[in-house]
Amino acid sequence: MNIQIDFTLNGRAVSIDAPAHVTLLRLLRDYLNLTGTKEGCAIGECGACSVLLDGRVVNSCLVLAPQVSGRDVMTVEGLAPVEGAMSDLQAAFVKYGAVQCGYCTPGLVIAGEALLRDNHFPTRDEINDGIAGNLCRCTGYQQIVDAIEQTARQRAAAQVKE
Amino acid sequence: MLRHTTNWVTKPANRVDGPDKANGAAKYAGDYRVPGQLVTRALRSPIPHARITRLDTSAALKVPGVLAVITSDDFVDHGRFGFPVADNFILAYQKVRYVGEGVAIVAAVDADAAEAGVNAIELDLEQLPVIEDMEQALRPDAPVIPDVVTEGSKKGQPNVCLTQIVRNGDPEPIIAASPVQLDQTYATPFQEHAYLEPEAVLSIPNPDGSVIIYACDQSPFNNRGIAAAVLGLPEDKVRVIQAIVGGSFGGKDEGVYQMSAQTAKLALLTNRPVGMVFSREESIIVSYKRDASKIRVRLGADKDGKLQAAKVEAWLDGGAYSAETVLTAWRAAMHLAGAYTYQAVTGDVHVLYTNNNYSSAFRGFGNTEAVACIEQAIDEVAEQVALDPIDMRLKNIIGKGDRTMTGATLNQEVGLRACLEWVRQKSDWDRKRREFPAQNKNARYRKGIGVACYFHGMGLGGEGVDFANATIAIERDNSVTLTNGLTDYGTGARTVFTLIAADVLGARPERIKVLLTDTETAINSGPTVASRASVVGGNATRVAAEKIAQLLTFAAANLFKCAPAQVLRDKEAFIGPDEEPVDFDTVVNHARQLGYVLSAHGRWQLPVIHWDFEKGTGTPYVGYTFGAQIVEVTVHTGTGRVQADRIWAAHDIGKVLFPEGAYGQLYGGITQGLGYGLMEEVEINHGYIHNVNFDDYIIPTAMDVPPIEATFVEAPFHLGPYGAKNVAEPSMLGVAPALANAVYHATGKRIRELPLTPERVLLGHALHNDDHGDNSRLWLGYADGLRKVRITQAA
Amino acid sequence: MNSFGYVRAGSIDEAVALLNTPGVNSRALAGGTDLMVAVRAGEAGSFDRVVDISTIPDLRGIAMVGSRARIGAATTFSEIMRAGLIQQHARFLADAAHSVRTMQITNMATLGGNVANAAAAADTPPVLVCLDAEAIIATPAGQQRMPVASLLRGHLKNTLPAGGLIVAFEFDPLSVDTRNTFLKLGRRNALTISRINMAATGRLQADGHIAEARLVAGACFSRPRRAREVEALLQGRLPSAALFAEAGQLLMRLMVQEVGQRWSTEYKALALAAMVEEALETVLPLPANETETVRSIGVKSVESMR
Repeated sequence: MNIQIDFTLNGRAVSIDAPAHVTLLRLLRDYLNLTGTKEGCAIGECGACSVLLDGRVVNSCLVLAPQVSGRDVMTVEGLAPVEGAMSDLQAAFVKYGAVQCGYCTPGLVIAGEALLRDNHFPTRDEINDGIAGNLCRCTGYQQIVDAIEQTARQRAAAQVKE
Repeated sequence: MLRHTTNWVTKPANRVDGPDKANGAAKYAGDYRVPGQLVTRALRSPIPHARITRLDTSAALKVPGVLAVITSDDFVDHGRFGFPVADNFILAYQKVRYVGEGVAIVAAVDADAAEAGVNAIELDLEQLPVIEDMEQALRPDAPVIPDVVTEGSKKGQPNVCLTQIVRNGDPEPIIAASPVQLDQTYATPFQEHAYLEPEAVLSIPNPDGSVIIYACDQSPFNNRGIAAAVLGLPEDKVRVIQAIVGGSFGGKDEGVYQMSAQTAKLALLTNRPVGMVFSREESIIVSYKRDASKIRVRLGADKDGKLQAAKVEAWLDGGAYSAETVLTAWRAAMHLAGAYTYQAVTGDVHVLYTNNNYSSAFRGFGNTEAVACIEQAIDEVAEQVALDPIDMRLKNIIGKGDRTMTGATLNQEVGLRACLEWVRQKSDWDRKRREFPAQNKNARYRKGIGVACYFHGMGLGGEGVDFANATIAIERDNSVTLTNGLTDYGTGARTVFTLIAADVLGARPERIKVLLTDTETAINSGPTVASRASVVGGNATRVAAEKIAQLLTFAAANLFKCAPAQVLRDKEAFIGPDEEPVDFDTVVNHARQLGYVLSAHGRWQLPVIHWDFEKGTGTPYVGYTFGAQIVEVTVHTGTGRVQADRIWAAHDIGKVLFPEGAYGQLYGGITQGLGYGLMEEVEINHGYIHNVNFDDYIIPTAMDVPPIEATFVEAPFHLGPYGAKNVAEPSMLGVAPALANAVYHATGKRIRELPLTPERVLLGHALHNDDHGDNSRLWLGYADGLRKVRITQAA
Repeated sequence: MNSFGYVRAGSIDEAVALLNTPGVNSRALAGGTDLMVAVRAGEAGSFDRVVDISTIPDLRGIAMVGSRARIGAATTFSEIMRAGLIQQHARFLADAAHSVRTMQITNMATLGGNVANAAAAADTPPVLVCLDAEAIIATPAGQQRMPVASLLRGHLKNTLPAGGLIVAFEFDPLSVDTRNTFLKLGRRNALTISRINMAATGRLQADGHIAEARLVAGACFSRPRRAREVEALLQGRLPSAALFAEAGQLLMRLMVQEVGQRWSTEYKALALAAMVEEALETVLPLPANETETVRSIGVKSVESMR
């Protein structure tokens, strides 16, 4: 049963026809060809498919595609100010060694961004709590926490300057 | 050319594939979308052991949307493959030996058609007795699993694939005469690799009958060799391109080769691109694991705790197919008694067939199991002689010039003592060992601290010739293109190669692009395993880069009209006798004008060593890495929950080439060790895996990993590029036994079976849920009763 | 996966009407964190469409209504974790919501969904039962009230009236002198299914005797219920380690009586008794000489996210 889904995706209006029972994850990957959002478990346990829905991080594998009608979705592809470039947080992930195989990275960047929007001065414990929904098998999380922590500091410093 | 100062190597650097991975642009094999791409679904065995009495796919081919169906009949020699023992098949032939083994694959225009196709296949299975554990495998009346003649066949134990041995003297009389003796048996669990990317492959046919395979594999050349053989094609008709790989840890060899050959065959049959992407459940049910092991350790020591002799025997549950467990067992044998000196050691590691999925490579490759056990045993001996565990180790560890447990002499710098001393000091070990027991009296939360150390042989060692090939070319725009036959599946190898090439050439890393490994552009370098990329692949890159660097020096000398020896370098600048610097581009352009060919091939090989597999003697490795790890825990005495509070780790990995990458490997390895020690265990009941997704197969989250304080002890290694060794595998080795030793310190309970689940810690034994549901069958598609699979009892 | 349609309800009345459309088998969709997993596994049964209730304004929000605290059924766990009112009057509900511990889940999961799904290991139902919370249920025949305890019938079974939709929960805020705690025992510190969870409240009289204690254990009985036998044992007594140990033993026996010997009983019985002791020590502080540092089990100190 197809349904028309109109929503905002990475700042642009999107209108797409898709079966009502597909997940947001499938909608992004199979119908919109945005493959930066990954499937790791499809049951909400790994966070690889994290996206921002109205600014809050969710597992796109547990969201039904038509649920996003009229709402705002941001994927890893939409975080950078310019397409193909990197946001400050993405750049910090690279700089601090938070990226290895990279498969969890899109979800972790999204979770990190959600955390930083919510909490401008997170402690390391709060960062661990904030990314607890994102499994990473390569890094042991330490450098991911570094990257998020350093980005928070940079953003705070930039605000002071302004 | 060993340089003492470096411009890029050893300095902070960005991972070359970091930006694409961070912004979502990186394409993994499951991300490719090509026109006309078909999807696949598999018919897999719903039972652990059976004879295939009938397999009829004709009805499936009539299902609308189905374009092809393949079985073992579609491959040369029924798709038999496997190294060193060729006991495996691309799709099951005559028998199925584990739950989830592939029997037939359907390619169709969409998932619904493919599923309908699978449901139309008729399969009759005649059930065979199931070997559920290693004890059953050894019984005289046990059903025989493999269809090859094994070493054990000659001794009436056909399910013993082989035994790898070490013979260094005769430990029996020495142990018998020792005042302090230990005889204990330890056990380790099956471990799932749990790479975040489930397996994916895409095969694309070419008009000339050749095929391109994009795969998430570790070793594209091995993949090509197997695919070509089973497809009946010359190797140059099969091109394997390694996509970006989402983690492997040893886990993306045999299973991905099966997928590659399957999709390649379907692509050739249908003349359409064919993709195969596993769900997490399919990945966990179908893919191989780290073997489960039982290890009996017998040690003799004198009253002061000086180790005298060791006799160690290990049994590895290799599951239905031997795969690389044959080699895992060899590495286990080489490390069974740990990083200590003895008068005599023997080791025997038996590889057994069971119907428990199958086992193969996983980070540490046998040494993970060995260290997990011997390092608990060492603590048990230390307690008998009332020695501090670190003092016990310092008294017995190997140093330069000593004989290792295999009897070979160690001819290298050894940083192990420095590692132990560093973790001891940083963790405040002596105070905590002393004070925790007093604090713990009657406390609900008890603190403990434990240590483990290890040695780990570098590279393939006696397993095979250890070489790699690299190429390097300066392009028309003066960018630099590198290839390497060794690959990067998340480890950072491409970045290491880039930094080495940059340093040797004097070219900024931003100029350099390392191609994804493609069997048509790179040169075969054997498998990318055994943490050998930095040393062997790095040296090959160095050799290639040195050839070009020499040409550039000649060109600069020609430009400066001086002798080549008078040309100096400062990063990209060439400086002649008049001290006026000339930039890289000018020199490269001049070299071209001189007619120099600015491309080169570098090959490098570790010195050949010899191990006699029959006698169990020789030199197993050209060198070793070393390390020590300490874990501090809190144990809840009411529930048995163990919390790791803090970890200290010091590793002698030689010169660190790419610090962010090396620390990342270290933290990641430690975290996998933490999972292995505390929570990870593939639960297989009667051949069925229970925990088939990340809700039940749990790995550490960010909330479970404590702060890790780590350092590298850079004892130089003369064969490594810039003195480097390796880090990927050894990083995980010490954590699990250090945890077990810490739990003992906290509770006085010695739990000789990993992982240290709350049940084991509280009760001293695990609990098994025998009525777990049919998770495997559900995810293999048997829930709705539509599969036409008939199961009968043997007459 | 079966195919189905989607419709979004704009109000409670519309949702009830959509859920009760004759000839259409409809399923309510709130956070989706349980439903989507069940659908994928083929365990959700077949239905024609989902009725999305997650954006209905009247189903969301946390407020005092008279003397009662009211939480809309589609209020998310994240909203509960952050609500000052909950922090102040029933902090253990916020802790239970937080114990699910992934932002991805707490941003979607709803209180109503957690109760209606009725999973044995669910984390918020024991707290609601401990609070004697009531559910307000909309049906085609009008609204009715039911205690949460009687809504839960067993693992994945609820007693919602046919076509009914939980719209809110109400409970009396805890008095200022009532302590509360939520404990969770899992296999790791986040993303973990509760092996046992526990909600407890306690109040002491001025003379140090126990005025009231409530205890609810989840994931080990057939459904969460107040352990009245244990509460009666504690009533009027002076807190002591021996008393709490006795309470633990009692609850352990009750568990074995009710659910029998299972594969996990050997472990769960001991762990349950230990958790009772720990929970009671938190909510009924022992006289100073008997106290020891108390921390939550398997959950790092629960700092609410702000």
